[in-house]
Amino acid sequence: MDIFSADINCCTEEMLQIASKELYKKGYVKESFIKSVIDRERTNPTGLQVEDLINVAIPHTDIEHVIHPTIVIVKKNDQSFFTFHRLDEPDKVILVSVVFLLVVKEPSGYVDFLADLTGLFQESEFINLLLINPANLIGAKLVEKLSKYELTYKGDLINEKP
Amino acid sequence: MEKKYLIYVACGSAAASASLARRRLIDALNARNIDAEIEIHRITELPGQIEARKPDVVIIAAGQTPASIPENILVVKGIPLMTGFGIDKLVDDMLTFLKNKEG
Repeated sequence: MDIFSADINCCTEEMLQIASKELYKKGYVKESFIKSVIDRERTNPTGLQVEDLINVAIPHTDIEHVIHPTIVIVKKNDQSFFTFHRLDEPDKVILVSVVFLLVVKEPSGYVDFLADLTGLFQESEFINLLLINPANLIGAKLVEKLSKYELTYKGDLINEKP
Repeated sequence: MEKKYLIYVACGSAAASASLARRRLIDALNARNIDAEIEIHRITELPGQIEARKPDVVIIAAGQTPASIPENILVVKGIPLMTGFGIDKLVDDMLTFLKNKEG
């Protein structure tokens, strides 16, 4: 499975739009994925507060919009955060450091991956890695940490720098 | 024989979040030799499903907790089952509640 990183200094919905449009251009998702993932985040938000250690988000949508599974690690590179609504209390918002955009084709594979990814949150070293490092280093590290998924780090999702 | 509990795990789409929560709950219950039947439901379908089978516990893995769950059913916020932090406390508190309810 391919894994990308991206630095996108935009608000949440614009970030999701930019990332998923790029995934569509590269042939990983159908065009319908773009609207679907944004709508899904509105109705079933995915902001996840991991104790008081870090806030992440795991946007995703139905498998019917997916062609090839992939993951995109998104961060802002200006030290600011994305605003997400909370998965457990959708009325509340949190400031998110790292976004894992999950593009998954098999529902069971999704659960496996999510279990292993959130399992890594138990390691304080991994939390620090997420907080301190840019998206590309996190992408490279995940390849090593989640080796059973045979991830291939494909670099920056958005080649053209703004 | 001990009573086999019926537990519902719910999220917005009855998919990823609830499946992850269910898997971690099964692991934690197995470790305590507790046998339970665990069903996954959409939050919007909870009222009908509760009416149908009267679960002992409803765990909300993701989404807004519905206001309409009857008082005798324990409602648990399932976020520890998502993050992996605090699973033991969640499960122990739940089992204590269930045992007290029986006794």
